[in-house]
Order: sequence, then structure tokens, then C-alpha cells
Amino acid sequence: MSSPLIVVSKGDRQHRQWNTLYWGYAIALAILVPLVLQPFQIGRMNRAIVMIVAVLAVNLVVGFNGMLALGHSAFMGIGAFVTASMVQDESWDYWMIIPLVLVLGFAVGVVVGLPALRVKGLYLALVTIAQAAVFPTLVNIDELGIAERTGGPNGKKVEEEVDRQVDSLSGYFEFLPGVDGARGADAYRYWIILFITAIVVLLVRNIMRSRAGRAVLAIRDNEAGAAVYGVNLPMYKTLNFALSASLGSLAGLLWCLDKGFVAGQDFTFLLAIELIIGLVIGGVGTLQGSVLGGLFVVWVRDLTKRISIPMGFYTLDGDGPLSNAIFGLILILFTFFAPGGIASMVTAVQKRIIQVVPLTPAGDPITPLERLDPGPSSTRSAWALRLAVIGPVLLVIGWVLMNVDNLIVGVFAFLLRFAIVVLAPIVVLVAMNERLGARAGLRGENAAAVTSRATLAGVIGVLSFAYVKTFALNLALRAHHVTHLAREAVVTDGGRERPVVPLVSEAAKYKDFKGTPGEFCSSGPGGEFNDWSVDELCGISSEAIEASETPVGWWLIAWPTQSLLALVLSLASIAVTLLVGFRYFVFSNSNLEPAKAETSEREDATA
Amino acid sequence: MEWQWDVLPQFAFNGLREGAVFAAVALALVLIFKATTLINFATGELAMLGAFLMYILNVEQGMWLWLSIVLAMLISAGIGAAVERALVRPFDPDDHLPVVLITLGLFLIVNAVAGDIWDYQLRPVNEPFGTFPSWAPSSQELKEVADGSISCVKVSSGNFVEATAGAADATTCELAGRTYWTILNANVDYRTLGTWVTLAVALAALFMVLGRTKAGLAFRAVSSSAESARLVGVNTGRTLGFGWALASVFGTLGAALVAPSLNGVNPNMMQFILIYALAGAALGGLDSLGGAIIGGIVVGLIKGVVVSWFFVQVMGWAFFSILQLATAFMLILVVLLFRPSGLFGTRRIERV
Repeated sequence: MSSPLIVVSKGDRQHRQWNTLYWGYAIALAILVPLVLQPFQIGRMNRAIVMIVAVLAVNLVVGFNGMLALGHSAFMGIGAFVTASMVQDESWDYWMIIPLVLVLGFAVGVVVGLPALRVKGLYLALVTIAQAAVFPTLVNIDELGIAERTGGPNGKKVEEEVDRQVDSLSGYFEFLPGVDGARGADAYRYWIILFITAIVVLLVRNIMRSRAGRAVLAIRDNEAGAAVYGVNLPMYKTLNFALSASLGSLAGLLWCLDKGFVAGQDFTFLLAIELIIGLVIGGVGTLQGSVLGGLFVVWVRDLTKRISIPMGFYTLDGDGPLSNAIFGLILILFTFFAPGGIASMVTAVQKRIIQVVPLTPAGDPITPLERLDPGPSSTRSAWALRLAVIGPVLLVIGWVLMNVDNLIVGVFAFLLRFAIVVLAPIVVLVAMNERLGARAGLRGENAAAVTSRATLAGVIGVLSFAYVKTFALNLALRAHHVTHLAREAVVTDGGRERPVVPLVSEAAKYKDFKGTPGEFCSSGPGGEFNDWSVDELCGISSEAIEASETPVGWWLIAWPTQSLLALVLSLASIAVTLLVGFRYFVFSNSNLEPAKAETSEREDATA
Repeated sequence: MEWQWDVLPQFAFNGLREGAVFAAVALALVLIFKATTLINFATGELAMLGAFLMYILNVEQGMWLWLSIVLAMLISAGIGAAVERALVRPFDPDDHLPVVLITLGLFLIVNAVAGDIWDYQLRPVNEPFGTFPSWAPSSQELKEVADGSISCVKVSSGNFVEATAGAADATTCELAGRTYWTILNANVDYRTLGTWVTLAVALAALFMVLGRTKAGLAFRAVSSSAESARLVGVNTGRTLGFGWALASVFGTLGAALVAPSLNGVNPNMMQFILIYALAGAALGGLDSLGGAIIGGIVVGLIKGVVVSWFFVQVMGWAFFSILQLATAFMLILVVLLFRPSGLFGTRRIERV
């Protein structure tokens, strides 16, 4: 498959469909997270999103401006400690602290960046690494009330400020998916953090497209050249660094919001390296890279912590210092073999699937689309069919592997099952395109074969896509259902009624159990938690969950006895997908006729 | 404010001892910077590995201490050269990001693997320059302590903590009476002197190697211009490896000498020292060997005299003992602000 499977011109119908798909998936994912994940996993997701902001802040300097800043843990620390102190000691609201933190971070960034950025080379790396090492010692200073405000070596706990807000505001925010009693605070935090992160990402994207952003990029690409064109090097470098520092502080604020506890040992050099690792693994100099990297750092750390491979006399335990070694190894391997990070891998795959042809100012594609068509010998329809079959096959393999009780295999199985989500819409788009191409005569004498292959692929694709949508919808509805039912199961604890399910996760957290609350309960923990014996709590909670559990069949449709709404929506989703799909594949559609093109013309062009 | 001139020499000597170690590590940084124009952030961790090699050979295998130090230095040299060959040489030295990432990854790996093998515990090492026996002081000595004619000296994590005369206590007070000389009313123990002498010998050896041998000539040629050196037939790759090996030797020596003052070896032992060494290297100029030595010693003096003596003792600001590391950071900022190429570094002028 030398040429991409789909060639579109920027902004045309198929390109719009592709973009809709892209954003649709992003939004669906964002909604599913607080619904499907366990409360403690939502917390981890929050942490991951906070890391996105932090990695983006690093990216601003390292990726977009080509300067080596290795100490953003200190800026995060400043943001986190200021937030903790203002919320706890001055009873400020989080919203009021945002501008304060931004300005403070900016100021510190100027102070640190100004001397280092005047000089070319590794000096910024030197200064920032020292800054990262120094910061944790500063919070312990027992003078000027610093230790009092930062909590010194013990750290500072922020009383459940957000929980209080949830209690008072949840009435307004209950429309947000997941914000309800059972996982309330975490889901509420999730939406706040996601909202701010989205704004930050958008802001950075727009800045990078502005005059100042172009200047920053020019400095990275050719410093001397930029200077010749009149870019004020020290000013733009320092401004960019200070902006990055203020975003780092914002990440610190979000960190405090998420964790409710800040301590000097959270903001060491190791955090700074973690940010760099996120940056490199995601992809230096790209926005998607920062997003992927932030997620990667937290979730892979979570994964490596659960690795435990006994090797005879020695157990390779990921929960010890070795998780750092794994990270270091990943960093070195990526630097060697994938310097562009995951983002460049994704781009490489995407390039094989879709090519977007830019437009001339007049609005036509720069290269006529027909000229980019592979012609009668095209293998696209064959590829569509292959991809169409691969998805369900991987799905089945994934389901089988799910039964293996092993962490790595489990993650692998999840990824296999996930493949169909990505493949199905691509197959539909390609198959649709090929049918149109064949009808327009681009496939010459192979038209009949192409049409039949594309139709078959399209039908499988539409069915797969229907499956994906139904699955996602069911997941969401079921989770909603479970939380609502589970929320109804309350126990009296500490004099007030509390939903039992989050109480169990609290007990698991209290007992330092690593894993899901379900695993916690099935391990038969015993002991006491608050007013209850843990086993008793587990019993009540599993009864509540069982009662709310929707029986899920192989075709994944909730039974009407449990949730009529789920059934109706699932069936409707299937019906809509099938109808829309078959409209493309069975009925003729004159709107989608491509511009007329002669095969010989294309051959002339290549000759 | 009370100028406590009488204790100043003591602080100065302590600062000089620490400065000698900083100088060794700064030298390791500068050797690598000269060879490959990169700051090796894993310098400290490689040095820590060397100190652990010494620990294994000496404490666990019972080898003679000095032989184990020399062997550890040689093995570290091999490790340094191997790291350069395997991880650093494949990259373009003018593109800073990948090599810095490599050194950061190395930092994490070495630290974590050492932590996994040896836990993050302090493992006591033997004192290379005579031990501090912890005998109970004689009644005569106690009397002298009480009237202040000698001071009771307790060794605590590398710094002399002067016990007040009255607080001297027969069971805990370790009199260092038989292992120090008194110069200018200050106790200069064998460890301090030994550290200086050892480093001086090592420096002499280094300058002999660089100045008198063919490999040293090649190193100087490559560090001055790798391109021209290659043209006249110097094997640049091997020379860069040689630079890394020399750097590892000095890092290991510094770590081995500082280990007794830190009460032992520990995977995190070099992290703060690396920051001081960075400050020293920045002060002296990142590409000047002599500058690194002077810079390291000056940083040690600043830490000992300006911070521990002036701010903490004279001004009475006890919180400044926390700010020691921050002072090194401020020093880097000030140097960059007023003399970016350091005191002795080459000023870089860019032509377009």
C-alpha cells in the first residue's frame, strides 16, 4: 500500500467526515472516562490530564523553542504550594488563584530564564536542573512563615475543598456525565481539569500560530536566521520560557486540586525527568505529543508498578525503584529508535491511511485528486477488505486472551479489542471511496471486482462500526446505571449516609491495596474501616453492584428488564448506523460523484 | 551580629575539603564537556557506581582499600568509555536534546538499579586516611574540653559539629584528638589532608597524561577542534571514549573520597554533589580544566565560609543551612548574568 488509502482535499466532504470521526472519538472518550472507570482510576486519569498541561509547558520550551528546560517540577511545585496555601490558609477559591499562579509562574520564569537564555547552548539545562534539585529544599525553610505555609517536610493537606463545592454545586453540574454521589468528587474534578486543560491546549495551539509563536519556532529552526529577520531573540526566548513556567504553575494548581495534598518530595528532580520522558515519548514539538505523553507517563507508571515477574531466586518487581529504571530504559530506547515519539508513529500510520491535499487560494486542491489516484491496479479495495476482516478477528482474539490472568496479556488483549474501534470507520470510508471510484471509471476493467470487494468490506465495516457504537453506548449507559443503583445502596457511616461503593474504594486506599476495589474485596481483606468491618462493607457493595449489573450477552445489549433506555438507544444506534451505511453501499448517491477524470490523463502525469 | 573569627578557619578548611570533592566531580563534567560538548547529568550516578564498586571490593571482598579504589577507578573508566561508545557516539554532538535525554535516562537507570540491588540504605565504608576511634575521652581531655582549651569534635555527616564545651559528654563525644592537626586554631583531620593530597596527585597525573602522552595530545586536539583533529589522522572516536574514561576516573575518585564523610555509600549520595559540581563547572567555565578545579574549590568555600560561617554563624540565620543548595543555584545564575563563559572558559563568538 504505497499510496494512502484515502485522498481528500482539505475541507471537502470526506475530510469533514474524517474530522468528525476524530473529534467524535475524542469527545466519546472524554465522556466515557468518568462513567466507566473506577473512582480511583478517575483520580489517576485526573493526574494524567494534569501531566498533559505540565508536559505541554515543557514542550513549549523544549519542543517549540529548542531550548533545554529540565526543571519544570519546580514551577509545578510553586503553583501547587501557592494554591494549597491560598485555599487552606486564606480560603480563596480555586478560580481566584488561577491568575495569581499564572502571574507568579511568569515572574519566576523571567528571573530564571533571563540569565540562562542570553547564552547559547546547554546553560538553560544547567540552570533548570539545579532549580529542580533546589526546589524541594526551599519549602522547608523555617523562616518568613514559609514552612508554615508549605507544611514543611510533612506536606500540606488541603481540606476537602472540592468535595464541599461538589456538595453545594452538584445540583448544577449533575448533567455532566459521571458527576453523581458515587464518584462525585473525582468526576467533578475530572471535568474541571479537563476543561482547563482543553483551554490551555487551545491557547498554546493558537499562540504557536500567531506572530510570536512563529518567531519562537523560527528561533528553534535557525537562530541566526531568525535574528537576521528581526526577531528579538532574548525577548522571545524569555517570554516563551516565562509562559511555559506559568503553565507549569497552572499544572501545579491542578495537581493540588486533584490530589488535595502537596509535599516537597512530590516535586523533585524525578518529576522533572518524568515530564521530559512524557515529552519525548509523546513527541517533541507537537501538541498531540504532549497529550499522549502526559497520559503515557501516568498510565505506564501505573502499569509498571503492577509488574511482578518471579525469576527463580530474584523477583523483578516493578513497584520498587525499578519502575524508574524501566522509565529510563524507555527514554533511551525512544531516543534511539523513535525520536519523534508516539505522535510521529501515529502520523506515519495516518499518512498511510489518509492524505489531505491542501487547497490553492482559489479553493481547488493543489494537486487534482484524480492524479493521486492509483488507477485500475489499485489495491485499496483489497486493503479495505483486509482491514475489515482484521478488526473482528482481533476482537475475538482479544476476548479469548481476556481470560488469561496476566497483567501484560490483559493490556494486550484490551489493545486488540480496541483495534476495531479505529479500523471500522476507516474501512467504511475507504470502501465508500472505492465504490465511487469504480463507478467513475477510475478502476477500468477491474471495476466489477473492486465494487464487490468494496461492498463486502463496507458491509463488514458498517456492522463493525455499529458494534463499536453500541458497545460504547452500552458501556456508558451501564456505568451510569451501575453508579446510580450503587449510589442508592447507602450505609450509615460516621453519622451520615454514604454510598457504599466509594466507601469500599476508600477502604482499599486506606489499606494500601493496589488494584480494583473488586479485587480488594475478593482478596478477603478483613479488618475494620470506620464504623464497619471491611468484609461486611464488601458484601453490601457487591450485592449492590450485582443487583445493578446489567446482564451483558455476546452481542452486548442490555436486557430491557434492567434498562429499557439502554435497549432502545442501542437498537436505535444500530439502526441509524446500518441505514446510513447501507445508503452508501446499496443505494446510489449522486452527491458523492467525484469529479470526472480520465485514466489516461493520470498516466500522462506520471509519465 | 558577632564576628566569630576564631571558628572561621575551621569552616574554611571544611569548605576546602568539600570543595576538593566538588572539584573532582566538576572536572569529570568538564572532561566530558570538552570531549563531547555535552553536560553529562549522569556523572554523579556513574561516580556513585564507582563508589559502590569500591565498597564491594573493599568491604564485601576484603581487598586492600587503596587497591580497591584504583580498581574501581579502572572499571569505571571502562564503563565510561562503554557508555560513550554505545549511547553517546551514535548522536550528533551539536544536537543537544538527544544526548541530554540519554544522560537523563542513564541517570534514572543507574540510580534505580543501584537502589534495587543495594536498597536506599547507607552502607558504611572504611576510612582511607586513618580512623576516628570512638574511645571515651580521658579525664584530662574532658577537663580540657570543659575549659575550652580543646574543642570536642563530633563528626556528623561530613561536617564538624562543634559541641559547646559544657555539653561534652563522655560517652558520645568522639575526640578526634589523635587524627587531626591543629592549624590556625582549626582541626584539620587526616581525612581533609588526605583528600587534598590524593586529589593533588590525581591532578598531577591528569595533567601529565594530557600534556605528555600521545593520547592526551589527541584529546586536546579533539577538544579544540574535532574536525581538524580527524583530518590530521586522530582517531576521534577512541579519543572521545578516552575523555569519558578519564571523567569516570575522576568522578569515582571524588565519590570514593567523599563516601566516608557521608558516613557511607548510598545510591543518592551524589545528587546534591552534582549540583555543587555543576555550579563549580559553570563558575570556572565549562570548557576549562583548571577552571573546574578552582570553581569547585570556590563553591566549597562559598558553601563553608559564606553560608555556614557568615550567614549561619555570624548573622545567626539558621535557615541558611537549608539554603546551601539554593546558594549554588544562585551562583550559577549570577555567573551566567555577568560572565556567561565562566571565569576561565573560552568566550564563544558566533559567526553567521
